[in-house]
Amino acid sequence: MTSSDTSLVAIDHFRMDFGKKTVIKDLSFTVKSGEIFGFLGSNGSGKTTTIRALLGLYEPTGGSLLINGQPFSPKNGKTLGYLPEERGLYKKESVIDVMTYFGQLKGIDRNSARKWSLNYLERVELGEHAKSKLDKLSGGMQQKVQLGVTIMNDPELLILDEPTKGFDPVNRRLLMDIVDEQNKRGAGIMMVTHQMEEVERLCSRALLLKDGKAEAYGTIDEIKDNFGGQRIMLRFKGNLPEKPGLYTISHKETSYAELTPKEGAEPDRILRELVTVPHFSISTFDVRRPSLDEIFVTVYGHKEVEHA
Amino acid sequence: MHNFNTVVRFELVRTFKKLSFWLSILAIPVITGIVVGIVFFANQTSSDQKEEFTKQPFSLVVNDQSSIISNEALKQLEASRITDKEAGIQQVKEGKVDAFFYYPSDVTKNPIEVYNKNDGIMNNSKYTSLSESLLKMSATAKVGSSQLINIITDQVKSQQVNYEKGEVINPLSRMVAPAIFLIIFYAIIVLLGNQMLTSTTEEKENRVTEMLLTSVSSRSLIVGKIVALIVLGFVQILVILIPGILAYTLGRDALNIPDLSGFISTIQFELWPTLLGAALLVSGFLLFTGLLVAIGAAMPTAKEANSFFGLIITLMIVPFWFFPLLMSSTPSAVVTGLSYFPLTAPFALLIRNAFNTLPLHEALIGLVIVFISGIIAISLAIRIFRYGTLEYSKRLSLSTIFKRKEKTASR
Repeated sequence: MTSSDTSLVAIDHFRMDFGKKTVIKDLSFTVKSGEIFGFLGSNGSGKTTTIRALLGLYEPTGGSLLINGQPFSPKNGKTLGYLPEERGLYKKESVIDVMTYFGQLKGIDRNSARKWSLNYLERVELGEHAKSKLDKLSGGMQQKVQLGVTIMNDPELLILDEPTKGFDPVNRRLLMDIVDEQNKRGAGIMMVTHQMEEVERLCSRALLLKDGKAEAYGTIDEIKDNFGGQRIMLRFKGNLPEKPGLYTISHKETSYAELTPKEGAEPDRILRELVTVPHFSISTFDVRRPSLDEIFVTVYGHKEVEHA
Repeated sequence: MHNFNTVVRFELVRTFKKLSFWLSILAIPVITGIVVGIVFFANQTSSDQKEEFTKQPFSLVVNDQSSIISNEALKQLEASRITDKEAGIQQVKEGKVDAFFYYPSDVTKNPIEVYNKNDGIMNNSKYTSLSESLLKMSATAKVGSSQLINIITDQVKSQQVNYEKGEVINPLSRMVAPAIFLIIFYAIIVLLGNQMLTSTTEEKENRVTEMLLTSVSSRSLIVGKIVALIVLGFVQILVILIPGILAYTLGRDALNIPDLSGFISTIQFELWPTLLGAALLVSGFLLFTGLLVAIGAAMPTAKEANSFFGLIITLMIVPFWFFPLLMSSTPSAVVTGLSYFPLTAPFALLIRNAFNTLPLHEALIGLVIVFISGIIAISLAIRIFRYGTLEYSKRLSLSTIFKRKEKTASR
């Protein structure tokens, strides 16, 4: 894979060693303008390390990491909105002062940053807390402030490292609405999350990072095709016959079974074969792809997923 | 440096908004004012009481076994002699006289015995004072020469004229300018040390570094913080000095402050010691700041950083324990060691510079050592801040700091 000049993010043959430990072996991917990209992996798989290297906080051992065709530097930080996994703000300062400060650091003049912040706080129902010290706010409220700081410069690229961590369901919805808005505005979004339903709902493409390499990479459909393919959910009466050339039975109960088709065996062929079996009748025959959640478990195994 | 001004402004404004900042720096002039006020009030009260005391009728009897007490002195106090000690004590007991003084035959070996009516804890001391004054007055009269008495009692002044290369010099006047840098450096350490230490632990404890470093380089951030600390230091010094200057100019007489105008006019500003003092102040400040910022960045919390802060401060003030040696012009291995060891060098060199005991070659070597150490400390602080503050809950080991490569010079 080669980096593309038109890509918002282009990571090419990235390698990262910490002393003798190799965290990222060889990683290449791109994030395109206007897309929502899911950057997935179990805990400790190297997602945050990759983001930190992309943002110049770590020096990569090898490869290139580019944003808009060039290595990132704080001077072009105006184009970036970053919500780190380890998040926090100056807790002893007022909400409005902290937001204004970060706005200024992103190149917005003081008055505009203040005005934007007040409008945002009204929108997320924190208007009355503008002058409160951050440590007087609940964790969820602080998260909203942090999100505001992340998006206040209308960035071209949003990097969100576990954005819903610490949010209740109501605020999670609000956050996702804001992410959606930013995407509709044209921002490219690179999102690290363990919420696979969010990835399925929001992301057009994704990458699953395992052992320092891309285990799966592409559109969500491509990943589903490559991992697990299709599954058949079958409700029946009678004895389900074994047909090793057509499918394997991955799960079986008295009147229910899940079949995994063999390579080249289309579901309609399996159906045709089964309806000809004597003393055997089918009440439902559903074909579906595995969810990303199932793929995640398949890729990382139950042990790793429990830690994720 | 990108976003440098924004960082400085933010650091200054948020500190100025803190009530604790103003309370801490106003505490010094306020406490000083209270102490001065109490002293002034006490002096005034004591003076008034003395005046009142002299006006009060006073009855006194004296038994003098030393034969020193003169009749003239007793006459001035309208006191009378009594031959029987016990009778004198009895008169006091019965309230017939206010006091009875018994002078033993050898007052240098035995104490004067003072018996008096109780006038309260503050006023009773007047009787002992009077008994001693009466003895001194009588002794002076016996010697017959107040000049001799003054010589014996060390009340003689001397006037000194110092020459250097044929010119009259005043060592005290010439040490003022270099000593100012010594005082400023000391004030910086006392007033700003803790702020320097916590200036970076705050980012680490609040986990704000990662967001910050995508908008501002670690160098801009650290240097911005240091510049803000310098400004805050000046504000603190001004807040402490201004009340003193106002008190001197507006209330010198009322507060009994000595007239310093004569001394101020004699202060000599010599180019080399003044320049050296300034250079040592800047270099020492760099070293001190760099070390504290580095410790703050490497430690997970301000509490843990504080234990190292104590060690640094102790090492830096070690030269004060060798003050007499540093004031001396005699060469000494200890003095040279203190002047060349980076942590002790700033104070050692500033003290020697103030007392004019610092040869040119030692000044230059020491200055270079402190300056290079300062630059190394600041660079180390920037590096540790970049890597250390991302390791939010961990202490950063030296091997971690040096194993990680610097990204680019601009970061």
